[in-house]
Amino acid sequence: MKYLRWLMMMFSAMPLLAIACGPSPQKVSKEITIHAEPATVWAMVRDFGAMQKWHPDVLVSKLENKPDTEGKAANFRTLTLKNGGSITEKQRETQAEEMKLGVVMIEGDIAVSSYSDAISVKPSQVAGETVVTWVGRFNNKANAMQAPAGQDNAAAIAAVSAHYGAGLQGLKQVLEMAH
Amino acid sequence: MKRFIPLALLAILSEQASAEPFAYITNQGADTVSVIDLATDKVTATIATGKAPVGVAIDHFDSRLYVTNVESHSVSIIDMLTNQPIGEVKLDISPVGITLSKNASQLFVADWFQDRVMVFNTKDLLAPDAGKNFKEVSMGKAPAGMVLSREGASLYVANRDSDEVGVIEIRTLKVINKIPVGKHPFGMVLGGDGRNLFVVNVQSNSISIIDTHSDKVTATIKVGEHPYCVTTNPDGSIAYVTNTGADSVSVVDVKAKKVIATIPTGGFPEGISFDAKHNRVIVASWMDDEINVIDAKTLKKISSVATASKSRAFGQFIGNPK
Repeated sequence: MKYLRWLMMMFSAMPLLAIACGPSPQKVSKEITIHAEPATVWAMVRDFGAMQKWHPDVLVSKLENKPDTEGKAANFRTLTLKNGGSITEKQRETQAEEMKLGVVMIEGDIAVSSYSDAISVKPSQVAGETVVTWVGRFNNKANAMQAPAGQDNAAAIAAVSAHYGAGLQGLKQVLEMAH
Repeated sequence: MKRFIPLALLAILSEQASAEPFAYITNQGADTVSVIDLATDKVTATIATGKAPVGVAIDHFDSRLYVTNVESHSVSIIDMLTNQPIGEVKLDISPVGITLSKNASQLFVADWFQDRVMVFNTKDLLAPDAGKNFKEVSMGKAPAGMVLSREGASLYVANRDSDEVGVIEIRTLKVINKIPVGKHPFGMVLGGDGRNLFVVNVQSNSISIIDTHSDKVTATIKVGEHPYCVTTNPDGSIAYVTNTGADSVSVVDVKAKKVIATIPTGGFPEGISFDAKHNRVIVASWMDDEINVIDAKTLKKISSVATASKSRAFGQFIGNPK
């Protein structure tokens, strides 16, 4: 009986697998306050090839500048993760006046698809403090509205939440230790 | 104002000026529509919808708002005078794009999973089995944005996965044209002058302009990364495009066929509409759960209004309930 239900779930999900961008994307937003000047925090965050300096789950970041699918020069990085996986991302366009860095994921060993994000750095209400917000938009790994467990929305949200949580804690630690 | 303004356009302008405009913003993560009074920029109502609302269409004859709910597979019907839901049409699809016929007697819903446009009679939509009572037209893969021609005789459909815009003759429900555009056409709008159709090509980072007299592409203009939706000013001389991949709006001079400004917005800007009464552009930001207000004269972001989780507002979302 269980097997039959699983089979039916797979079949009902199948026509949806071809969709490049699902109609109901998911979001994770995490925020942390850091006792450091915004300029200091931004100097660390903006360094596109240096995530390994503050994210505890990132061992290596390999930076590459090459043309994207539109033939436009762009920054790419491949992150090697502590769990053995890797993630390749392209730096998003941002406006120079904003303290914001974002990526689009090209491929990655993480339970998401169609992933993009932005890390924003803003002064807090308190002088000498900074608020860092990390927001991501993505579909589940199956890119389907009825996805099997492990490739569904819950799994995608859990994976991104863990990645942001560890990263923001790491960023805070590194910056506050420097004081 | 010595310049000549066509009579029809004047009629549209004065009609828009007579009623107070409100923005109707779908919030995918909150299962609501935020209603914003554009005279005060305050949220005056929050209306419950089905699950994961995305698209909007406004019936100015009956002051009704139609909202597509992707996850509850339904269309919500809302009375814009009371801001209360008055019905929910259950479908067996995940609807996104939605629009109405010229006299609002027909509702068009795009079914991008089964590659068809569903056609409903609006007068029957409150009946119990309304979701089963429709005609359909198939003409391309993954239909998304839809726009009516100025006279209301034809419906333009962005067939995302076919990289073309299909044209349906509404009287016969026959496909009369297919217009190749860029990669993954999605949001569309008819320019304020009623002649040019603007199509966003998500994967080509561009917009195509289609002359609706000839149904030919007359210009393709590069905008920012991963563009999504488009609107124009009332005379159609300037187009505004949301770039979801760059968190910005590209301002396009239609005659010069080039981008004349890029305005930073909130994260992942999706729906965009022109507030003619106050000469402003309103943008829904999915990441930041807000709308951004852009002054169309200075081309600067002048304020933001908080909405609710994952604001989308796919479609022309400004209405004048009366």
